[in-house]
Amino acid sequence: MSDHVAEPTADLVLTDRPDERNLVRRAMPWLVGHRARILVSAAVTTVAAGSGVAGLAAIGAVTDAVLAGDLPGALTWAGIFAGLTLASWALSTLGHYLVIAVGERVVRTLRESAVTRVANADLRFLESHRRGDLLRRMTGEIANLSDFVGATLPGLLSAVLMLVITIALLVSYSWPLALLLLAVAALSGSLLGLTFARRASPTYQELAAAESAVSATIAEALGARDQITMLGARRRIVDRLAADNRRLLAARLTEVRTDRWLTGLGPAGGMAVVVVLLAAGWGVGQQWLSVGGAVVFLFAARSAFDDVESLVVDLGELRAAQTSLARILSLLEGTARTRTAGAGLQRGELEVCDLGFSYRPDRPALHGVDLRLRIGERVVLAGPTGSGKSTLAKILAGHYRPSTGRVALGGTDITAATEQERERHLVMVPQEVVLLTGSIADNLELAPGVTMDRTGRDRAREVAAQLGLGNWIDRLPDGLDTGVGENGSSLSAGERQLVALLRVALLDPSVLILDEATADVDPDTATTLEHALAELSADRIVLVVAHRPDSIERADRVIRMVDGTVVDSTVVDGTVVDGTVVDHG
Amino acid sequence: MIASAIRQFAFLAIPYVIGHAIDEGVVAGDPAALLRWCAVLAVAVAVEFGGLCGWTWWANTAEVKIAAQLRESMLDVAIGAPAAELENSVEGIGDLVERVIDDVDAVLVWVHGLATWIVILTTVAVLVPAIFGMDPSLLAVTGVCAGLLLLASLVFPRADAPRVARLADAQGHRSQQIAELLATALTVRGFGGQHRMVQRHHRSSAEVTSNRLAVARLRALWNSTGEALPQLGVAAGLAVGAWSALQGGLAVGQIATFAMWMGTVQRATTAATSRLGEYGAARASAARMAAVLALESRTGQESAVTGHREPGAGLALDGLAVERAGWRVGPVDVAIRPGQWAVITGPTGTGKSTLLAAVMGLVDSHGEIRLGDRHLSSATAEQRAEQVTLVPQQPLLLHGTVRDNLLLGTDPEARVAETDLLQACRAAVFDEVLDQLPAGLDTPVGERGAQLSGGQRARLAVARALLRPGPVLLFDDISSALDVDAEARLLQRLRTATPERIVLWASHRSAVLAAADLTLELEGRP
Repeated sequence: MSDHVAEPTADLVLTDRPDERNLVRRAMPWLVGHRARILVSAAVTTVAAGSGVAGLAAIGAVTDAVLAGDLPGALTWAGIFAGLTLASWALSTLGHYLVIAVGERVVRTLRESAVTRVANADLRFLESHRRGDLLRRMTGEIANLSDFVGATLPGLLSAVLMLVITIALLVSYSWPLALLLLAVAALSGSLLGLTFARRASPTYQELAAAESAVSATIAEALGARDQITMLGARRRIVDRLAADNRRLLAARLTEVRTDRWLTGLGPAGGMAVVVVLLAAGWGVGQQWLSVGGAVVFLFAARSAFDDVESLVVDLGELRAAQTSLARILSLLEGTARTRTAGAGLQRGELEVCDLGFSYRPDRPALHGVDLRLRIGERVVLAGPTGSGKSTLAKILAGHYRPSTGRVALGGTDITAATEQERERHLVMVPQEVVLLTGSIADNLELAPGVTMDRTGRDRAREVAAQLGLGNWIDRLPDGLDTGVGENGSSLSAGERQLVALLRVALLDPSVLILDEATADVDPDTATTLEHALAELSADRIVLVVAHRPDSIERADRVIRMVDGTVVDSTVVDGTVVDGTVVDHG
Repeated sequence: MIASAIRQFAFLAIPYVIGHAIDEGVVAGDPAALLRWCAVLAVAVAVEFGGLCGWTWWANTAEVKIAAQLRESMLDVAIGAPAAELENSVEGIGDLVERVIDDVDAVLVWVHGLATWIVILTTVAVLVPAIFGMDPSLLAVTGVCAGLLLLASLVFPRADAPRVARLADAQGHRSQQIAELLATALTVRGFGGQHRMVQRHHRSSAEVTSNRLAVARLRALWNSTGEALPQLGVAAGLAVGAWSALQGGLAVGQIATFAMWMGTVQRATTAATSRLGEYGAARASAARMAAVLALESRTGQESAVTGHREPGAGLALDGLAVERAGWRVGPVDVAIRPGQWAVITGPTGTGKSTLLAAVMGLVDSHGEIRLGDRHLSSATAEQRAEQVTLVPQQPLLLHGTVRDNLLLGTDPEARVAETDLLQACRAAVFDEVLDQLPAGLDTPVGERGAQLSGGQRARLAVARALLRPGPVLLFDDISSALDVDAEARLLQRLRTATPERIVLWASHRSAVLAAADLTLELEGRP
């Protein structure tokens, strides 16, 4: 049993409204590895947009050639237009794919880093977050980002590029007219687009709420059918649904009104065409613009507003993607750990000096703990619930960083060691074992360096026999390949502990910590197991956190904890110590 | 629908007007003509937007109203239908909920698409003669282009669907890996087992990426092909148009009009194919909806008992028995007069609740249940509910306030006085609870009444039952969650509140037994 429910502390907790500032700078570390690809895909997309826009100019050239009565010229330009269309087709296919490909690679880096970091995060971090929240960040938010990259980003990028290149083209025809069109487009676009963007969020929230209210009423009423009939409340329930439906109608109509700001870009574009027509008519009359140039402007004005419309929608998606990115980045930042060079952890004495730890600043869970565990020793850590046994065990296993004092193995501070070194030397089995869905062999294979090939299996069976678990394995329907059910649910709690113990027996740690790890196993088996685990390696320290008198009896030494500190170490050397006395100090 | 046709007509007119403006205004250099056409264009733009606004407004209103009507009648029918009928038509409550929510949505998507057909038809009706009028060969170009677009929008989605499905699978698999990693985290961290799990995750993450890229390859091609085809049409049109123009058949502005119309052709073909796809789904959903609505005709038929109330009639149970798997509850014979309390008692598991449920008509039973000279046994559940009210052991509250829940059993037409509500609460000893609630009667009870304790929910349900008009009250062990003092107050106040009612209890509490006029002892199971 865990003695403490970890209380979240302010610096560790992720919030629903993460910091969205400096996103680009914060995302940079995950982008740098993809620099070359990003540049290539941007270049291809730019050329694709360029050839699309150049097509516009070709239409203008055809018009001028026709008016000049130049048939070969007109046909040539039509051919060039077809060629540009084909080039734009090929390039935009490639560009579209490249943008997604590089975006997906970045998202993949993000999600794999997030999973790696969370899997290796400080245990306190995992304990202080709801599993659902972490799961959502690593799946839902990642999927949002990935969908954005897959569906919105290529279009967004090419729309922006098209706009820029179109403006450049128009300026080359006539800068005053281009400026006029730009002014009209920017003015109406920003007015309508921004109003839409401002109203969109509350509108869509209310719509979602109204829709879920309708669903909730229906689901609730159908679930309570009998009671509603008994109360003669059918009419009232239908009336209630009618009220929900009225709310939904109001929400939908608000949505229609909000969307009008966006669709309003259509008539704004139409009016821009009117303005351009008038200006172009004047320009052609004054001879500073050709008819072809006027046609180019008209096409540009029409398509620009279509682009602005999709741009506004895409920018909304971009906002949502930013929030998702911020949530993922804050997860990555919250789980970042400083790398240590490694301290060369060695087998040796485990020494604890003036150790302190607190979950909350005002209340220390451990204080002034001094211990010295010798090689080959089997030590029991006993004490009442809440005295800090499990917390101490987690610190000794390197899962929590001590707030004060130090833990040293073979003279080296364990916090200076790398994660890999700590994992190899310090191994812990908790009381509550959650297994991987799969077979026992799958679960054994999780142990570093353990494989379930032939030799691996032989070794596993041999070790199981040494632990006195041979019979248990033989009785299972498929031996080591027996399925354990979802998270081990088809095994009993005691059997799950057996799997966990067999798994660590395949390893060779310097310190083995069993935190109530045999509490659900019958006493005879537990005795065999604990002995065998100590016997398997004589140069190992075995620390057992235990309540049961029989476990305590077998110890070389008993360490008692009361109120977060070690009060007494008794060397028993074969002398029986009464568990109840130890428990209640 | 009319709005959508007007909108599309104006939409199609815009390129035509622009073409004329170019020819008569710009090319001919006639400022008056240019101004005239610009004015026409402004009108067309305004009409187009007006039509669009009308279309979205009316289409959405109609859609929500149709959905509301469908859902309200489906809910009405589904609540009223006899359990046996319902079991024949649907697979469980989950399936029923799905039909009322998701299937209605699917049909609506199709209804929504109906207006698009009008748009497509308008487009065809306008463009075919208009383009033919310009030059028949341009119509041929348009036809080829539309055909290719149609082909593309049939071929691409078909190839896309399995890829998208594989991507969804890969994503689901990856989510599962993460869920498992989080579930086992505290265990596997003890020996460094997380590394293997991270490796497993990365393998499925790679799987996600390769599936995402497979989707992307197709979508990239699909996207640019959809854009390039009408452009190629425009190129062909330009060549044909230029040739025709130089023969004197076509004006420059008309070439521009044609180019703009090609964009519309693309949209129309895409819309047409996606509408065709919706039709199949909508038909299946419509059938599932119809199965629920068909229940109605059956529920209306039986009418053995009228809602008329007969004063002074007693409740008689003659040989009432219920068959359970392998044994039988009852038979029970009893006659209870108005103002009398009867209690069914016996050890746990002997069928006390079952007998109350039989009187309520929730389970099939043998024997006779009579109220005065009317046979309740042959009444529908609704008709029986007018006479009999059951407070079950674990009563259900609905989300909403205390008041909403109290009023649930009353006539929606009648206004219930505040004093009547408070009186019922007092009789049910719910007044003590009410005093402690932050907003009294207007306190929300939470989802399924989760804000109240079991005992509080039971008392609220008793108050709700007292507000019902029926002469018979069935109380199933309602005092079990109360302490002895509260129970005594409840019994005493209920006695005063039910002078004319027939009350049948199921209980093994001694205070209830002591308060009852009649006792029916059930024997233990054989």
